[in-house]
Amino acid sequence: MSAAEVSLSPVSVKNKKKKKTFFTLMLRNRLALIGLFFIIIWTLFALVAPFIAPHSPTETDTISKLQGPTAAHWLGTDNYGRDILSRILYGARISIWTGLIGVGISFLIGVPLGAIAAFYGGKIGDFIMRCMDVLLAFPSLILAMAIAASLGPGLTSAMIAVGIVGIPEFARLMYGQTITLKEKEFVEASKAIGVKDTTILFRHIFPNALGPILVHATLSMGFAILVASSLSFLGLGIQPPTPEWGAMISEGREYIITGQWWLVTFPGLAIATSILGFNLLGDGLRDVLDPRLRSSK
Amino acid sequence: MEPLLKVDDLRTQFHTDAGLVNVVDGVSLELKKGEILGVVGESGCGKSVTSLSVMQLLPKDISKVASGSITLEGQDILAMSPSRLRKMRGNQISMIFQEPMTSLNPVFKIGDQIMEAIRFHMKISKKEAKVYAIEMLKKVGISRPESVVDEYPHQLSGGMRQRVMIAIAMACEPKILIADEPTTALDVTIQAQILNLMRQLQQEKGTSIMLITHDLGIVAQMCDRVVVMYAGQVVEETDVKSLFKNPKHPYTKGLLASLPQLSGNQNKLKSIPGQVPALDEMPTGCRFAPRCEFRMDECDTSKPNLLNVAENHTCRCYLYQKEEIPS
Repeated sequence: MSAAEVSLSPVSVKNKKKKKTFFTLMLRNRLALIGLFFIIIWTLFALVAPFIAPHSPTETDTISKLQGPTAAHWLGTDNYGRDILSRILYGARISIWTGLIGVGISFLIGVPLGAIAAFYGGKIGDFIMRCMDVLLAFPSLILAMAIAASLGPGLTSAMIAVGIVGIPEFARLMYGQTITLKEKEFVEASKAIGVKDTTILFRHIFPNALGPILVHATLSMGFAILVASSLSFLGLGIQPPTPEWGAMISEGREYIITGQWWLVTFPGLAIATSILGFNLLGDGLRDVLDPRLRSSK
Repeated sequence: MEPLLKVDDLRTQFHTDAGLVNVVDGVSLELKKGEILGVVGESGCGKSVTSLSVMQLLPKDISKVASGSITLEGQDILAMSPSRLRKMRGNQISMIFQEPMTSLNPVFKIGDQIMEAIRFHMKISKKEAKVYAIEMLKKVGISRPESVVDEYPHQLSGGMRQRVMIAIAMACEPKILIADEPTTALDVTIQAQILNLMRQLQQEKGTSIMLITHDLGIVAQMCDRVVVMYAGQVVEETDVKSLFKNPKHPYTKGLLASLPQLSGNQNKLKSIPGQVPALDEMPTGCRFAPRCEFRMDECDTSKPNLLNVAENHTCRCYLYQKEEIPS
């Protein structure tokens, strides 16, 4: 065996060890696993909804309206006789999709804004961050309502509203990360060998800031689903008859008093479990990705 | 011979709560080809700010070069465009820093970080750059370079990281290497290895090195010429032999006296009394006067100039007014 081969082996072992720790730590974190389980379940439901849904989500059947859970309708029917289980399964598609697009918008706009504001500083930085402060000054739901209302109700405007509401949080997080990272010596060292500003931002600062941003993105997913549902509940989001969890609760709320609890309970549980899933996963990711917390274990 | 790098009457200012202060105040120095120039002084005397001024890497929003000139082979660095400056950095002047533990990006492999400089300045393919990176690692004395290129900074020791930093800095064969306290954060045995490596690369490539340090031992070992700085000014400049044999400025004398001696029965180390004056409270006369044991009346009232006290030996002190030789 040559000298090179001998010296190679301990390195590869070391690399494997490092990769292993991420997954083992993740596996050891039970709450995060529960979160992941919920997310996977809902994602699966969303993907295969057309195949597993027992009924059409929009098909009305006035004869069997407002029925409690039965063998034919596991989770009961609503006031138009639509199957609630089918509507929840189809609703998962809309909720997860809104969450993904909404958080995507927040991420793609917020992160560059924060990075630019921190990296270049000065007047541009002040201007960007004060704009973010203005956005943060509004309660997020009020802001989302204002945006959704001005764009007109609908799925697209709900996504845009959810996205815009999330921008300042991402911007501030990235701003803080960049401020500390840009003073690091490796950034100065790359400047000293002639690396361009944009390259430094993309190659040196962004990957180092990614951990906290990723955690925030996961946590925001839950929030985005909640805001989208709230908008639909208020009638500013997805319009009937499209199945959406928030809208389902909105339509079913008047029947709580008359005893038809299944109209709101099951969509409510769907919202709760999906948000819980993303929050638990986000917390778990934070524990695993933060080296300081990792070493204490 | 025309010097490679010439700093002339450089004045670099920082905004502070007390207003604008001169952190570097009228510094002039020259770096000739193939020479190792030591820049010595206490912390806060303006050594690092001088080097950052040369690289034009001063923090933009709080500092600026107020006057003076910096020329690289006759070209004015202060007048260069940002893109021209980027081409200069790494290619003509490179820099290594004090803290090897934080000077490498923790999320990138060693190879990628070396290749970054190589590919930016040399415009070669990724494959060629990797071969070159391995070559550079070999040159700086890293064993098993083929596997180190694929490792992350946290897998290397401090000494190895500083070797990697040197590999990055030397990759494009710059004419000038500015080393800002390159060994301060390292163990003494590693220090010697790193200094030897720098010396060896300097002899191979004929690179000029500006070595910033507070360690006179390193100066004695490495440098050809020395600039002693105090409170933002050059107080003495000479070749390394004269500095140790025949120091002129009271501050230099104090620095040398405060070195521990292996021989002799010195019980207590000497120190220079007092502290470096704050930037906004500089004395009106000589800046060293409040701490100087040879202080005279005129030291408090007027500023001494750099005097030619011997051939290639300048000193900023009134003690040598009578000895001055016309330049």
